[in-house]
Amino acid sequence: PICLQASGVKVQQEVLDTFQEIKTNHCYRYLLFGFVNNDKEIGVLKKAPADATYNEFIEDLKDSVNRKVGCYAVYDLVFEFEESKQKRSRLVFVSWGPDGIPIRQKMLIASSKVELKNKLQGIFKELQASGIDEASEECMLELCRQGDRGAN
Amino acid sequence: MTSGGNMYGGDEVGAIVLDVGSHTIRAGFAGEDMPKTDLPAYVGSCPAISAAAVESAQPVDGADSGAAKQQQPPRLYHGTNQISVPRPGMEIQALCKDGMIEDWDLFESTMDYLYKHELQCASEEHPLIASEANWNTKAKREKLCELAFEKYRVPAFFICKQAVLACFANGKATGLVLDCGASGTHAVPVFDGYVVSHGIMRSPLGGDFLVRQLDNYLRQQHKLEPVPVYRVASKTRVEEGGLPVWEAKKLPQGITQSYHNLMVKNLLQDVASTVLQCIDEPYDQATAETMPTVPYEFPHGYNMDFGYQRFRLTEALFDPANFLPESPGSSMLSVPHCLRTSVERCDVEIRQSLYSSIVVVGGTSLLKGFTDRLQRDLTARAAATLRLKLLASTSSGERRFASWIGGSILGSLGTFQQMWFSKQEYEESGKSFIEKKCP
Repeated sequence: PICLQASGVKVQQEVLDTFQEIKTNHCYRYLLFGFVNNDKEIGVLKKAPADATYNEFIEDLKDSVNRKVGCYAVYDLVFEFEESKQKRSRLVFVSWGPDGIPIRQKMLIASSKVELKNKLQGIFKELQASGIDEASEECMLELCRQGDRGAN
Repeated sequence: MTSGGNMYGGDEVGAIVLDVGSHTIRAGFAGEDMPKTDLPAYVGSCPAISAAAVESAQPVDGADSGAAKQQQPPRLYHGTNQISVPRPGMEIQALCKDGMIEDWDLFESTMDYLYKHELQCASEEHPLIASEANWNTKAKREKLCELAFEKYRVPAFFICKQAVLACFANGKATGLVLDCGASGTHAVPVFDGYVVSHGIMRSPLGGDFLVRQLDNYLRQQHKLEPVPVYRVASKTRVEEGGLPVWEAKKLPQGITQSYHNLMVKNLLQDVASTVLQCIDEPYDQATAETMPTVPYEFPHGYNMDFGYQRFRLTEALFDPANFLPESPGSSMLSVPHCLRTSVERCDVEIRQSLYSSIVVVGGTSLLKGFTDRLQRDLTARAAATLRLKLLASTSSGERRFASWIGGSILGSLGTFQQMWFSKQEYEESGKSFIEKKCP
């Protein structure tokens, strides 16, 4: 299905393939997607190994601010359920359109998001952030725990 | 050429972006930073008889002009400069009602004027991307679509909700757009690029409301009848608060009430943007009295210092129940209340994402201290765990023209060129297909 109210930016097959890998094999900690090919397509910018830390993820987000671009991420978050202490792993989709990037970049990030997210089946929660404080590990954990409370 | 193909090449399409509001109409070319023109959303309409005939007749009140004049269409005037000229019998008429296009004859005349004088280009050579009111009706969007293809023969057309464009331009697919404009304040939830219609909240508290407040205050407290510049021939400098000494300009007979009202409104808008400010805590007389005063000199020479009233007059935006002298205990929604109610009407799952992406737009939000006060009032009422974030551009252009800018960027993206509703599709499927192309 095509999403009509959007930028028309295409999603590269590699994005879907690496997403399938992180979903089934949990072989990456996180993936970064961004605009490539003259902003005509969304491609894979980075596949972070499974032992990467949340700090590295934050550094990557900061780096994108320096380069004045936005990006998307899928983070494989491992956390303990509050009561049972049962460990679980969940995929969080992050839409990163930081303050201070050009409006054109903000437009691209916002208007292409739905098209991309619809193609990534199996996302547990979604985080839309424009500042580092909103993309912190705490925020992500809180978001996931809320969801789990509801589910259990 | 197949529909859905890349019809217009790369990023340089030269699409025209049109953003119609109840106060002004913004128009310009896609890809540019700011609209080419910011035209009043009303026209001056003169009966089609010569000025001499009007003057020789009995004083004309404009409203009850003779039947003889109805034989020809009225002469219409567009643009601030033309509308500001005092002309016998010229009535000021609005294009929009409730943010939606209401008078299509006036609208068409305005579009003709726009293409010819402001944009100076042929409509059939440029795709048209239009914004629409967030509560626009199906009939009205189809009518605009039809007009674009049939009369203006545009090669392609697209229409998008104002709040969605403003939200996108702030980097958010999901957010709560707070549009504080001339006609009032609207809180519009946007989720994944769609307006959540049942969450829209509207309050009449906006720029026009502040102008009325100011008008009442000047008339009641200062016994001042605001005299717009068109009536003033000369003035003499007088002391602060002293009786104005001025000479009236000799004007043609038959200046209408609607023209005069518009000129008064323009004057008061200037006063409002010069002196009014929002106080950062709920209004307190003692604090307001310690704030610096701001002088203002009216066109007819009356001049005064605005003191605590600078803050008191705007307090109704945040506390209408206690700060509307003419209607105490008003049930109008304050700006923060409007916003909160809008969020609460949405699914509990998305409320946090709305609160963390509050997109503040509209000319009235440019009042000094407005966003600080809004942030303060929202925080005071919010749960401690709630994360609030206001996105308010520091550029006044980006705030006033947020929807236009969103349309400008969208219309200029190379990849967007396949999204247009093309002339061919229109001819094959008709105007109702717009619902599918621009849901």
